[in-house]
Amino acid sequence: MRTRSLATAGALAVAAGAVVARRRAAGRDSTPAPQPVPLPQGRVRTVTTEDGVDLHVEVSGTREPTATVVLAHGYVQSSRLWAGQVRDLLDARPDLAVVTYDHRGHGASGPTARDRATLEQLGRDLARVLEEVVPEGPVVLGGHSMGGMTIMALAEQRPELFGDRVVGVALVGTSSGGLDAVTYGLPGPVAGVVKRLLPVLNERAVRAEQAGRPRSVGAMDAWLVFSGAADPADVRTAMDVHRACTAETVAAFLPTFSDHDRVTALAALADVPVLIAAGDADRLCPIAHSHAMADALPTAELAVYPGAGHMVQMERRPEVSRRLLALVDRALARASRPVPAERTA
Amino acid sequence: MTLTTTSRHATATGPLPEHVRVAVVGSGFSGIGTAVALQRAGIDDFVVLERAASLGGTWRDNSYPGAAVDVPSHLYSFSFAPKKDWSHVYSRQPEIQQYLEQVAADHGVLPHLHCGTDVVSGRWDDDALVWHLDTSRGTLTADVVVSGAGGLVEPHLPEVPGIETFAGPSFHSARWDHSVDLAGKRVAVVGTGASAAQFVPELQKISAKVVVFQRTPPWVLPRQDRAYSAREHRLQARVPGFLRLARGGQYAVREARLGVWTGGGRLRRLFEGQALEFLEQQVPDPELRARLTPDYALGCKRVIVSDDYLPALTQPNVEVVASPVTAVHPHAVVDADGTEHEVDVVVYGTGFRVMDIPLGHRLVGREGRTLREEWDRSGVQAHRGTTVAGFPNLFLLLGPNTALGHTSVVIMIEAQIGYVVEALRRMEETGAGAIEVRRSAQDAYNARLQEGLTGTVWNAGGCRSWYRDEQGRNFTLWPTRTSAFIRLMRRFDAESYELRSARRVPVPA
Repeated sequence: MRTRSLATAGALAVAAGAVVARRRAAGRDSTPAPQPVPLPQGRVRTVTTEDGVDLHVEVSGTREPTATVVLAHGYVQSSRLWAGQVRDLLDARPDLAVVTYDHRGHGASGPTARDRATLEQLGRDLARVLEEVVPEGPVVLGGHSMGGMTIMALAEQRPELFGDRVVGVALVGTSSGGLDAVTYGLPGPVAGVVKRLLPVLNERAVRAEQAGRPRSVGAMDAWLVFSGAADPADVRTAMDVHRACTAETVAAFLPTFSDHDRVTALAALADVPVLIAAGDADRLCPIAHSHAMADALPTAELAVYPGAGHMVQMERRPEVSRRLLALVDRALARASRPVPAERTA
Repeated sequence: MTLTTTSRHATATGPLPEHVRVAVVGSGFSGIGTAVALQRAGIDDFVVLERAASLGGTWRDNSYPGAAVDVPSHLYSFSFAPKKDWSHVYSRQPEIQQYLEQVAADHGVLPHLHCGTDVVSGRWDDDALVWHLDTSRGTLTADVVVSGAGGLVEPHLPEVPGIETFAGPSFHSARWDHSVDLAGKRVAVVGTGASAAQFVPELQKISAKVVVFQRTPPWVLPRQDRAYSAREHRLQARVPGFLRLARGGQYAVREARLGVWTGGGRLRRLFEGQALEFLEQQVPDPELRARLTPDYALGCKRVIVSDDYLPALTQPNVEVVASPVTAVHPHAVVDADGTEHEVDVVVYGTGFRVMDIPLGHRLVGREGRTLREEWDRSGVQAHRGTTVAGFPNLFLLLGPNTALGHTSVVIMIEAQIGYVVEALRRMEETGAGAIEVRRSAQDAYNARLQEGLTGTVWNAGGCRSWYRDEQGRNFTLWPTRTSAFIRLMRRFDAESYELRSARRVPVPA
């Protein structure tokens, strides 16, 4: 076991090194560097969950919106990584409000107990955020990765919310289940070893963190969530965010993904416009998972970005923003349709 | 019409289908080439919409006397349909049109061809992910539109006052009025480009007088055209690989000459020397020769390849007026000195509205803009000359920056067609209903391309040409070897695109 783990580590190190080299070479490309996305500058609020965790929430845009877009981020990340879409949505539609929040244990939100580090709890947390921050008006929910799974958990718990309250859903770089079979783009046997190792490595990192040695984040993280053609500035931003996530959170949430199997929960979304968007080079939530969700939602729009990795909302920022805006349009158009009169007996 | 009317050769009759997978607009080299490629790729659900009464595109429209290719016919033909018996090295328009008709007939394209069908307007439907097309013969929807309109379609007339006031017949070279008898007439020719260089020698033979208005003298290189002998035809027909070798040789020679246009200058000066010698041989009169001597780099404007243009200008019945036309009067054409030249007929060899295709004004894309409006905003540009951000499922053949100064554009057309078929295949494989190039990919491509054009003779040669817009931006030419374009187009760069599928119930208005 020890030799194999060393070999695995070696293989991963070589792979990571190759990726870093490729990225450095790509960075010498002549394309101009895009503007770095500024930090979201919304009105900060705190929403306290039923078990006392303070969630950091930011609200931007008009105080009397025609609709509110609520964006949920992914595992080991924070609302910061939705910043591009926040900016693009508000620039294009001054009539909208945009809400982002950090999941428990992530970003500027409070830590979570281990037994509450589940997608079910995240679904309940999202319901809480909606009740307190967007008590009225149509809502379009968007979730990236674990954020998308959170929305599915909400749909499972509260299907009645979807239709009149939640009028549109965007599932970005996410999955409705089957994550245990994902190999992260590694050869099968290697992936198997890595997955067995991960909980062990996580607990080791937790203990190190408790002893004052922060979690290290490096080329491997970047390789997992970005394609080789990603903008180095985006990678730096994302890695900064990853670095700010505690080892405790990383360890706490890992098991919940094995239990995530919510394709049937998608049925609650059948009557609202849905956008499914993902990169076909996504190593964490493979594109086949987005196809599976699209199959379960025949009227959903599926947008695929060849060559883009897991952080598709960064690697394809203008396109994903545009699809989100189109979703808002469709959602509002449907929401404003007159309800057909009840047939009298 | 030269098409035979057996059922195998008949074009489509009857109403347009309600929906097709691919609507090809135009039936010149691009349209016919696409149709053949679709058939070969197993795509049968397509139409070819042709606004004229017969196929041929450029080679139907340009029927002026002397119309011919400026590139050897072995190169100016499809690689998959070599013709073994071209009558000349540089074949004439009727033969080229016939060749296209033959290719269309041989490859079963004709049943898909709807003539007399002009696409009047088109709109992208972002819910159903189809194009709604309105034609002069009815409406249809198409998943994909391929434009075979190229870039040199609509005649361009000079912006001088009085054109409409001319009392006698006047027409553009691409709208030649064959009912006008030019024998014994005094004919004004405006323009000295590739078309005029071909029809002026013909006019010289029959007209009483030809007055050529030359704003800028072109560079002229020898053509050395000749008829192929019966023996050569036999060789081409019977010896395996002979034609491929001939085509390959012609291709290689022209690629090698590319340095004239894009290189440091030594090769260009060699050719300039040759051209000046040629001018001296063909135009003994030093005063006329001076008027015909260009003052800009060879290649900056399209080079004339002709053995009889210069000699025609030396004939007693031809006058070269080294000046643009400043006005047209009912019986005369006026030069820059104010001199009136009395003529009976005016022929405008003034070229085309480059990349200003009618379809560009008529197709409305995803953002509610026509292609023309989009190009007015952001400059005439496309991704790899083929796709345009904001216009899903639209493919342009011979779009921006695919024209060539040095060899046959049929090579570019075939490379683009291969790319289009790959795009369609990718859509099919992934179940995508819409495919659209990303603006950042298109911008990056064009930035690199424009870099490649800096320092070329087209941009820096000191002339004004149809290659560039008023800001001096070269929006027509491919900057380098055609082999580079072929390589580029061989792999469909899916990462430059967004693929969408939607089986969505359309939102009611």
